[in-house]
Amino acid sequence: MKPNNFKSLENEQVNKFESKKEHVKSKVDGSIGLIKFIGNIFELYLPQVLGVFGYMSGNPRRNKSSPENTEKKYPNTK
Amino acid sequence: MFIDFIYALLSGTSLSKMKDEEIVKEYLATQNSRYFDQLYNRYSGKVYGKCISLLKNEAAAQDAVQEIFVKILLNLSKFSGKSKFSTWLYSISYNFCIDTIRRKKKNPNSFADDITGHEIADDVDDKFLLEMNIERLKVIMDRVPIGVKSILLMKYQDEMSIKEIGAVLSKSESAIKMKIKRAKQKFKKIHYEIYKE
Repeated sequence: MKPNNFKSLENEQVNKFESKKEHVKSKVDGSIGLIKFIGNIFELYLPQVLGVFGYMSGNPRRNKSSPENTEKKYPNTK
Repeated sequence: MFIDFIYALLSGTSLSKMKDEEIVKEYLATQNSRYFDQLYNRYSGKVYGKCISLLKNEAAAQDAVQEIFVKILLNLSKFSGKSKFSTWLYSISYNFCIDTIRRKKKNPNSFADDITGHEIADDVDDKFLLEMNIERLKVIMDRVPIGVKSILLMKYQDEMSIKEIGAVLSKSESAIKMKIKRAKQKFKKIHYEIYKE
């Protein structure tokens, strides 16, 4: 195997990072957690916000309590 | 609890034997963070090595590692598998560090001129670089311009092919060959300036 001191230099840097590895990993997890949280918030509320904007711009909302909808929801009940 | 321990032990063993590309595939299929942790354990040290070499600052290198791995996770689905995972990861790491330095310098051309204007007639033997005393290597790598340093790291530390380096730097293979030749010459020139050998 050919000697390669660039690899030795890399090994030295990898060993140096060992003590900081967990600290950096916790920061990575924190960033990812935050991104996921923001993503979930958007996923949860964005359709409703868009619905409100749609309603405000004149799009008639479906009336959920109308007898027609209730019949469709529970077709086998009286 | 004992069963959990055995399961963790067995799954850990199999994970460590899995290829990077298989781990990426499993992660995308299951979204299980164990797979991402494995990639982090394999490559965080190497990514840090590149960041500290290029950025020359401990805190900036740690922040860069953090941002690179977040970027990797968010873009993992874009990894096509055409290249090795390590090549893909390193290309993101190099480009991230180069962009960071560019933003600080506010001079987009500061890299273009790194490897020009210092012609030495002779071609430099790879052995000269590979067998250099590690302390000297550190000193010289600290002195060479960023463009020279990144191309030498790609060639000799990451052992990337000309084609792979070309893909990272968005250059043709012939341009990369020329850049490598000039980088080696620049390296030798700085070595001579410091050690007079």
